[in-house]
Amino acid sequence: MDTSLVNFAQAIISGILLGGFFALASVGLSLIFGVQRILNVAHGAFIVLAAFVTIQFSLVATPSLHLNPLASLGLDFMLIGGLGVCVYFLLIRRIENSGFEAPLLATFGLSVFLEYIIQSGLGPIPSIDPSHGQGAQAEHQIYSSTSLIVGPLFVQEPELISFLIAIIIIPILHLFLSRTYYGKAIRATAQDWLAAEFSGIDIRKTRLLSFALGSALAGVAGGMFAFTNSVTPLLGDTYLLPIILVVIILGGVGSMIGTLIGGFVVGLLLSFSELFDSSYLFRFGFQPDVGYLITFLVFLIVLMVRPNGLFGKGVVK
Amino acid sequence: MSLSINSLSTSYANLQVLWDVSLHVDKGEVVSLIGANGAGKSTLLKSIMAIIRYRNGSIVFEGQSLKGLYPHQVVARGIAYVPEGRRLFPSMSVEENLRMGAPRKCEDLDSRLDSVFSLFPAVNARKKQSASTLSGGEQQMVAIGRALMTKPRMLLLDELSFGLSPKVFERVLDAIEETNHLGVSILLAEQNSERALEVSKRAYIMENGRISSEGKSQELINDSRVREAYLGIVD
Ligand SMILES: Nc1ncnc2c1ncn2[C@@H]1O[C@H](COP(=O)(O)OP(=O)(O)OP(=O)(O)O)[C@@H](O)[C@H]1O
Ligand SMILES: [Mg+2]
Repeated sequence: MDTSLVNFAQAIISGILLGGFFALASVGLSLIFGVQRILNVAHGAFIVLAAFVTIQFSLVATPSLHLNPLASLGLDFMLIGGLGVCVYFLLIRRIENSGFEAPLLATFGLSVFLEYIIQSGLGPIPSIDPSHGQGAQAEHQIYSSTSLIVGPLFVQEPELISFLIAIIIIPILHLFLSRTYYGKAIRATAQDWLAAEFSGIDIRKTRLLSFALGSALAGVAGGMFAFTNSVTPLLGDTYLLPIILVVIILGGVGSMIGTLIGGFVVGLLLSFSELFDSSYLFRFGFQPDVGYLITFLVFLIVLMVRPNGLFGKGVVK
Repeated sequence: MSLSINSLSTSYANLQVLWDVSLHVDKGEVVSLIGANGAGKSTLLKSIMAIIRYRNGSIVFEGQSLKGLYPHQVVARGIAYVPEGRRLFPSMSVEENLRMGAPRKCEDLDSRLDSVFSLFPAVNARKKQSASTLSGGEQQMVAIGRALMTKPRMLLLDELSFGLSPKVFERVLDAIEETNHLGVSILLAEQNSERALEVSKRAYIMENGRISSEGKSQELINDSRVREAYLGIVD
């Protein structure tokens, strides 16, 4: 195969896999935003916190208990889901009916708080896989990702795993929302919470459920994030949150399948933009990595044409 | 007595809207609540449903106070509510809207659905359709159906006639009378409907947040002051 064809095929594979991870990282926020109209801007910090949990788990449990580091995903799900429950009771519940701004500011404060704890309380974060560079010494190597190589193409194992988790979890979430009583009650609460309440639905339960579930999914995404990136405390805000917002807005807020597709779109944009020779942009002072630039440009153009995203109607459908 | 309200006062923030309202509905009765725009009819129904908290007075249903409950708990006590403007879940199908009225564990779900469909055959024909695509009359029927899915012993109806042609309103009133014959007590709030007075046994007239008169519907219909002010009939 000639190189440009190989590069093209590789960009598709990497983009789809990366997109799966972005969808996984976004779907919890899409659920919370769609149901409660709460833009939880601490979602990125939740993911980084889970990544930190997975790294610590791997440092402790893998050598001494001989557990696969991937077992930490269950822990992430429960811990960050539990964090979601606490945040819901202590913070969100008191302000959720008071418009859009109060929850936005409150979760922004929460995000700063969590990042401060991660940064100063938990110290420098080692990397699970030393091939990511900074951090761990060789003796800290607890997980080395294997690459699956098919002819000229390759796939990183953790990327494949997070892709598989995304394409399993997101359709299940879609079925949960469209088929089960609690799923429908969550959608009813999203569409008209007062009507839900006088139809006999306990909206305190449905809101808690969606906030906890959305947070728990951030936990799973954070666990996978630790396997493919070297994690720094502020990555939630500088890298993840902007991409997550693009994904859920492109996919349509509250649409789970839309979020999956939005993830693929952004993943492909980022991986294809690496194919372009961007060195000339350097002369104008741009970073050589133009992926972000292209992604946000496409995002803005889509919003000009379709303000509710590619598939969205605004709330959980 | 099914529902009894004593000296109820309700306020929005600092604005007092209901003043010393007392009203009762006996078991199996149809009672109408008549009043002009802004008289406070909706506020009274919302107070019963615990959508608005009230300061003074009491609301008692089947011998138990409803104070301090959440709306879904009032529903669980046996009161259902059809609000002004229907408030269906727009992105859900008709059937899903109805499903939301029933509790999570509902053994007789199918028979509840069947009784709504037999009351409103027009709804049965549209059960897979999204609620936002229904006509006003169909939406009203689904809103009543959703309320009936809770299997209430008392039904609160706010401005049923709104936006309905006289013919469809008649159809809806027939369904309400049919429901009443099955033993459900009815409180019907209407702005100025002679028809509401005709289907009810007793009625209350509300003015500026107070009950200004009450009595047998037949007597109120014949009262010239009521005819002029609320039925728009000048003798
Ligand atoms: N959310 C609110 N906040 C403040 N005031 C309100 C609110 N809702 C109603 N009011 C006021 O309370 C009074 C009674 O309103 P209510 O809706 O109960 O009247 P109504 O009898 O149902 O009228 P209509 O026939 O127009 O529906 C009105 O003066 C209205 O302006
Ligand atoms: Mg009203």
